[in-house]
Amino acid sequence: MHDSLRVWFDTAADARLLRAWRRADALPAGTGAMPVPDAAQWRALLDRLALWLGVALCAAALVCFVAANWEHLGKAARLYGLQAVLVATTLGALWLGLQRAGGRALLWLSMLVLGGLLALIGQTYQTGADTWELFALWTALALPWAVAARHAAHWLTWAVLLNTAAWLWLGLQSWWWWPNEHLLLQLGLLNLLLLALWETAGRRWPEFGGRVGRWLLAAAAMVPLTLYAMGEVLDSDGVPLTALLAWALATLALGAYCWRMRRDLPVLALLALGIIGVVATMLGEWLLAGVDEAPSLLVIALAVLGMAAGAGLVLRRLAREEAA
Amino acid sequence: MNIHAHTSPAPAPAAPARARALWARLRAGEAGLGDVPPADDDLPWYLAALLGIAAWVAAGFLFGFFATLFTDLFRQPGFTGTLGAICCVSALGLMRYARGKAFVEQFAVALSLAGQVLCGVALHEALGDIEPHALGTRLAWAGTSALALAMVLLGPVALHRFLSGALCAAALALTMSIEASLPARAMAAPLLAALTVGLWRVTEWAPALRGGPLPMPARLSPLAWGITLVALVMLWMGADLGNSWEFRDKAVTTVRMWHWLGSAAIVSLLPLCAVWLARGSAWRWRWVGAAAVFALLLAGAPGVAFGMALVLLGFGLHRPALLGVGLLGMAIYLIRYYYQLDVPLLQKSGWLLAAGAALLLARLAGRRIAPEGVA
Repeated sequence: MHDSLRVWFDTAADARLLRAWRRADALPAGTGAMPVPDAAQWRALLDRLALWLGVALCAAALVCFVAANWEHLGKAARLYGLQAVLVATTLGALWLGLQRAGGRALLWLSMLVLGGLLALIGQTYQTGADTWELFALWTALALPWAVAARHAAHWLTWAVLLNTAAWLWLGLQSWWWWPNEHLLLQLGLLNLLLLALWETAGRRWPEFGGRVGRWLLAAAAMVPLTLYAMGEVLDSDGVPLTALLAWALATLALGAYCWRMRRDLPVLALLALGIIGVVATMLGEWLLAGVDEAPSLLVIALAVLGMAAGAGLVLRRLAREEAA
Repeated sequence: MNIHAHTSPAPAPAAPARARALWARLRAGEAGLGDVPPADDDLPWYLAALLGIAAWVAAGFLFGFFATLFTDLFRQPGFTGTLGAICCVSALGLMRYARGKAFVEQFAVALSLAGQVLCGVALHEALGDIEPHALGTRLAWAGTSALALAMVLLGPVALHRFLSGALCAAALALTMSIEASLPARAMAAPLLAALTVGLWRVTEWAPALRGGPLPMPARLSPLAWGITLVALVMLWMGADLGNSWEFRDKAVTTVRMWHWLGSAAIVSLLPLCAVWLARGSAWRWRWVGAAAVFALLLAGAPGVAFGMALVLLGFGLHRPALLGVGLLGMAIYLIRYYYQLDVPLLQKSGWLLAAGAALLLARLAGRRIAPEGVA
């Protein structure tokens, strides 16, 4: 991260304290003016924002262009044109240098142009522009881009491509012993594996060291697993052991990791929300089936509130420990 | 998101190292400062999300509890309204007299939300039949919005202000959208977007307005958060107004004109933010001009300009969570924009490319011609 932006994050933590003291009327009038970003910090932000938003808008423009299927442009012009863009962006990235932000951003654009080209081929030769084969090929071909860029944005984009390919492929799979109702379980486990790889890689390579990647992959793993467990509780006649066991083991493993080894409160909050969701669903399923509805609804409401308040207390204590 | 709860009356824990260091710096410049104030009972974004979602879920079950307990009386507006009012008043009392007790506070927030929904149901039952043009329904939503605003102002818990603020904004948006006239429908998202920018601006005026009849503006940030999130949702949902079936009896040009007026109102917030944030800069009007050009290029995709405004506000106010929400809002809006039917894909591609290229060129130009330190 740019030094000026690091200073900005540091000042933001001070600004948070100043706001808190103001709310508590702990500061006399005129004391503790709120900090304002200096010229260098604004420069650093606008530089990064213009670069990454500019590249993202160009990528979005490309997606719209391919989808538009412009009839006035011939088949060859379209295919060769996009190949030229792919070569130009890749060479441009190499020319700028992959250690610079500009080079990495251009390589990210090139990674997306690659997918646009595959979609255009699928569209032109009627093999489909949103099939699992296309995304699987894109995922495989984009791997060298991600390895070369050594940047979290490229790896997270790669993870999105892998997820899309898996989603489309698993959606088509249905065998008597493993029906595709388990799609959410499979996707959750896939992302749990990706998270484990991400964290392992983070010990060696700095591009995997940031917290945003962990948050996104943890959400991509735990949201499907939690929804799967909740859905199975509602759908099954008995106790859905597979779903609950998978969810509970994932919650325990990730919880232990983010509590003991890498203290990460947003991930712990996500896990707490999952526990509240699954427990409330189980209570709802078991209480509402047997007894009078009104008291059961009140019990569930109080249980949700109790669990949330408990989780809030624990997380607040951990946040204070972290700050100290 | 950084929503703050009030200071807990429980014994304060030791001040963190950062607080001690900052307080020492402040004390060096101000002789009368005493010891480090107690640590504020802070509610970071992930905790606000956890407790907020849990409060809404619990409020839903509480609402269900009341609905099943009083099934026969539930359609009578007088009864439902009274029950809702009792819930709201009890919740306010609990919030005031049970401070620092996590479970009671959380229960009070859920009870307040359930009470507000009950009052909303009562208003809909009482006024729903008033015609023409679903006037009664809109009045009911307006009443729900007003009640939620009152609860924001009266309730001392930050999480409650945030959730009631979001309810207030959502009900206001529905007042202007449900079977409403074309101008009202077109101006719902711009109004919320303007309220968002205005409230974030006001939250920084705390020292000047301290001690007034309303809560301190610094305490308005939970309300600003609630309105920000609803404004983003409105922008995502209202993107297709230009092609909406709702106004199929109106001339296409009239519908498009109002759609574009709404978009213009939203994108104009970006240069407005630049006017404020670049005050004191030697390049102030150049930044404003650049923001205006970017806003014009993406006038058809106002969610991008609004997201950019949130990013700039978040940076200027030292609020990383607001900056993050702005970036996320832009990304989600771009996906939504792809499916927007009133603009052909080729045209979208052209505007997006123009805006993207303009940003990259501006960065290049900025690096070459802007002297160090000018921003």
